Amino acid sequence: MAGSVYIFNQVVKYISQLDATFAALADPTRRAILARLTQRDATVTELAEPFSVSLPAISKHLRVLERAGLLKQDREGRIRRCRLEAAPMKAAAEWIERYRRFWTQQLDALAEYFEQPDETQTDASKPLTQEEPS
Amino acid sequence: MTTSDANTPVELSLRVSRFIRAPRERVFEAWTRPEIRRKWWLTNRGEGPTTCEIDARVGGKYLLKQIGSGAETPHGVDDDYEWIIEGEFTEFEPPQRLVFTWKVNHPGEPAGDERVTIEFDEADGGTEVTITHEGILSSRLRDGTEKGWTKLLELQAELMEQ
Repeated sequence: MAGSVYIFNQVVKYISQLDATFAALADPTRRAILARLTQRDATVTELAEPFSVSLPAISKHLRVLERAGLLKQDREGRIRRCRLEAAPMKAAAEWIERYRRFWTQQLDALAEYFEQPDETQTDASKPLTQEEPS
Repeated sequence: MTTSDANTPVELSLRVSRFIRAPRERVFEAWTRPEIRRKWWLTNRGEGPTTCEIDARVGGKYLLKQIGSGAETPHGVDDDYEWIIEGEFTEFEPPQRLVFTWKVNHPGEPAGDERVTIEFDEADGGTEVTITHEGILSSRLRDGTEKGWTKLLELQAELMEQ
């Protein structure tokens, strides 16, 4: 029982982290910044370039992303360099990945079933009595 | 959320395809007839489902039960977890299309609003099966944050395409 409480707490913690991540992502400029950082690290000035917003406005977006754990800022003298911090996104991606594996394995199993040389398969043309679930 | 966003949320989904060397009618039936389904449907112990009930028609329900590892969080595993997968068919178009709701008793997770679509397309010497699973993440959220999830997925898709 203690184990399941622990698991529950871990799940709650996990979901809370994801909430912060998604709140930060609910803005097109911030998403564009992150998409840009997937290519390579960039300075604040470089990140501001494609947007018609001021440097302070960009800095504010960067702080939101940093608080959500999506981005890290490193100082090199007077220059701030930003890089993507992938862990929270990885957590969300895990849900998707889990199901991708699940369905891929099911389809492999289905393919294998039809490739069995012996006809353990049911002949689809014959009506069958349904088995009772055990 | 500090900034408003007028973008329409993009519903992202998971999609996997596989070529199956069998006629479309038979592949379709492998999903909808319980006596066939339980022969191939994989459980994580390789034992097959303990329950497999399928009422294949629009509005009909299905129920799959299987025992397996409940490794649904990185922190805990229950080796004898009884997984219950259930839902209702919302579209039933033999032999080309099947749509059903998808509910799984993930430990510590609220029941979701997920949907699975299976398309069966004729392909050279067999059938191309495509599974689309929607709502995987949005169903795991409290109200009001769904948009954030879909945005994240959108970004995730961009990342994966790099």
